[in-house]
Amino acid sequence: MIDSILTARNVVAGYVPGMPIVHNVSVDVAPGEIVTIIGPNGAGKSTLLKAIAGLVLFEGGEVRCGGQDVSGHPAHELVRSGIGFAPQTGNVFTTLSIHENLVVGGHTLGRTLLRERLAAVYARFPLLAARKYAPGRVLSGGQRQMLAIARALMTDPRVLMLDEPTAGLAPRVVGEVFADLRRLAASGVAVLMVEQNARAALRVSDRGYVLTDGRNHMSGSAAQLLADPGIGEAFLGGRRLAS
Amino acid sequence: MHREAGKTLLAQAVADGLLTGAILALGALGVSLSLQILRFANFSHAELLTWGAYIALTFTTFATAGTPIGPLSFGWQLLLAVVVAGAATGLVALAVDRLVFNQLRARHAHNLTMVFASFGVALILRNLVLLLWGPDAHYYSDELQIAVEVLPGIRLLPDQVFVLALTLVLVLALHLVLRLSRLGMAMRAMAESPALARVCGIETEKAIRWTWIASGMLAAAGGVFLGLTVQLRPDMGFNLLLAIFTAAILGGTGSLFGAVIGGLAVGLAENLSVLIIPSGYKAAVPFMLLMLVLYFRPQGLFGAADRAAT
Repeated sequence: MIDSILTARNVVAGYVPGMPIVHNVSVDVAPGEIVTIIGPNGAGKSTLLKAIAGLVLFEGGEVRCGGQDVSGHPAHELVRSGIGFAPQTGNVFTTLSIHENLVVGGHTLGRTLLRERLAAVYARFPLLAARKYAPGRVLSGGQRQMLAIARALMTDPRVLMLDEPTAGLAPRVVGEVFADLRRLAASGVAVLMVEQNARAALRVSDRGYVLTDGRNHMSGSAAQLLADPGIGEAFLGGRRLAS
Repeated sequence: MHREAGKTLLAQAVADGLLTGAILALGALGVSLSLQILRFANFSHAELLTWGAYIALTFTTFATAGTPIGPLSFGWQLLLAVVVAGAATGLVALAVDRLVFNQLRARHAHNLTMVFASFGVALILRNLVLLLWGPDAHYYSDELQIAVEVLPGIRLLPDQVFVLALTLVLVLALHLVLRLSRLGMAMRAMAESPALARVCGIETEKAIRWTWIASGMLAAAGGVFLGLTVQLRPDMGFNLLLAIFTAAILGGTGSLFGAVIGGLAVGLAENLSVLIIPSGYKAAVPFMLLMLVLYFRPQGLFGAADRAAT
């Protein structure tokens, strides 16, 4: 039995009332754990994260964070419940500087706590500290992803949700992002991510869920999913990459 | 001799253009804020200028215009009236949002519905002014002023110099609030990406409330300045509506810096045009300018590419 920090049970969600994309999906994440959701395009992976984050229409089910019922709560309230989210596209404010992005990320914090968190985040990401006044629009894909994660960490969340954190990144940068996530999980943060780069993501994950057609298809340890021939064929690029 | 006179006329037209432009800029800033954060073209915005001007008039009626300060036509009471009118117009804007636009947002109304509703709100606000203050023209002060030479060949009334200076102060203050305060950053974040802003814990409704208050206050200042340099009439805001929107679009919807430049450009274009074409065509000149800019740069002068410049 997993001692979960984030529990989503039978979530039904979508964009248009009565036409859900996600049907009765359940996921759990424990503190210090990295959980990856994989599946084909249109499986509802991103919609599930957005539903938990309060960004789409929540039509049913239950989401609990640290035991607190946060089902269907608006996005701005979930930050206070300990959930951080970095969306796939538009994950930084391009017209704001790095520093301003982080200040906005800590919008819910008091003045003193904001200063402390800024220092902590800059210490964790020295590259951002070195370019704190650069506008978001001049950052590379990898730097934007780093900033998106840093921004989500400003509130010291218990759960960090990431939608395709390595999309469009060079292979070397992908490794750096995953290494960052591993370090983050080691500090006790629960990481729930959606990834197209399924094989690489599962390699750094503890567990995984497979979603198809907006429904739970399979779940298990990352090692189990990597070894499953059916999953390998369907979602991990087939036998050639399964080796 | 002719050349000297021409230079003087040109310099005077530039000064008059900057004055008109300053008032337009205050209106255009509010329109730009609405477009960025509320995400619809609020055609009732110009009426807030009228409300600001008349609220200040009511205040000065009770407090009297006071003994004129130096060469100005008004006393400290009018300065206080600008502050009172700003706050009250902010509240009027907030009330309009509560009664109309908030209801539409709650029903997930289309942006176009919001635009049409704003036409209705404009009619109501304009006719309420007519009902409350009557159709006659009003002035803040009966004091006569003599234009002073501020630069060689440029004569301005002391009130006009005051308007230019205070507009500059207000624009700088808005710039500093948006750049340096956490509220300003939150508003800029909301303007760029409402979803990401919400994920950061920024409450949409709070940002919207502050947008109404800020745009209402700026409009009130513009209205008082217009009343001070021309006169107060129930249709004073309505008469500026198209010029204000032209300024906001010309500068680039999404750039507050662009709104200021757009306002000044429209003011200058109107006033400089009378040097070469009959003054009857004056009102059409900003639109010609707008067409030219939109043809070569559809996003406006400072749209999108320079949004960080807020």
